[in-house]
Amino acid sequence: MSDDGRMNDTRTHWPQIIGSILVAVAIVAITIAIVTAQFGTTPSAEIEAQENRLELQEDLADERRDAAEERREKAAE
Amino acid sequence: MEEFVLDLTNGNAAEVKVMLASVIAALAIYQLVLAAIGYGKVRIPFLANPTALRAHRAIGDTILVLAFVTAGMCLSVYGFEDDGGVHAVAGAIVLGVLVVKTGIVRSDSLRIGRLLPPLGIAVFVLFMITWATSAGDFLIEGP
Repeated sequence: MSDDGRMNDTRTHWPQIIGSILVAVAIVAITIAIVTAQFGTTPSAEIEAQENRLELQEDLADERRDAAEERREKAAE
Repeated sequence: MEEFVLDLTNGNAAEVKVMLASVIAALAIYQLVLAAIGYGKVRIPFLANPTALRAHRAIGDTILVLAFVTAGMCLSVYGFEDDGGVHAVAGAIVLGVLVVKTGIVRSDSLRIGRLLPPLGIAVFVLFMITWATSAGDFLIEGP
């Protein structure tokens, strides 16, 4: 350990760095393989359709909220 | 970029992101234990301090790559959403602190190694906040 708290190691770090990067790539690849095995492939079109459905639901909820507010205001008048 | 990420993850970008974030969180906990052993705060008979620090450094490099891959996926698919404030801020800061910490570890000229423990704790806390505000929500509430 050096005076400022860092580890003293004069050996080259490149093999360790390359090894760490390869492990990270392997983790990403294994993760994708596990998730795909679990959930299957979701086509982009299906994702877009899901997003559109969600947006539509949110819009409808907003409209209903606005309408209810309007009714309340009219009733108050 | 979004198309590339969706193709790469077979359309399961959110699920892959949650899994990777959870792997990072688990490794971050392990890193905390290794750092405690490396700095002599915890003593384990079968693990010497220098070995723990070398493992900490190697796993730290892996976490750095995983964090950037996960952040890239997150930004390309979701961007900066209005309701993801804490997640976006914590995620951006943790990447910055992680780069600074790795720079200090790798630099022979910078003599500010005493900053490593507080920076390490900051990285750990920020990782946990980032995980809890995305993967945690996802796992508890569903997609």
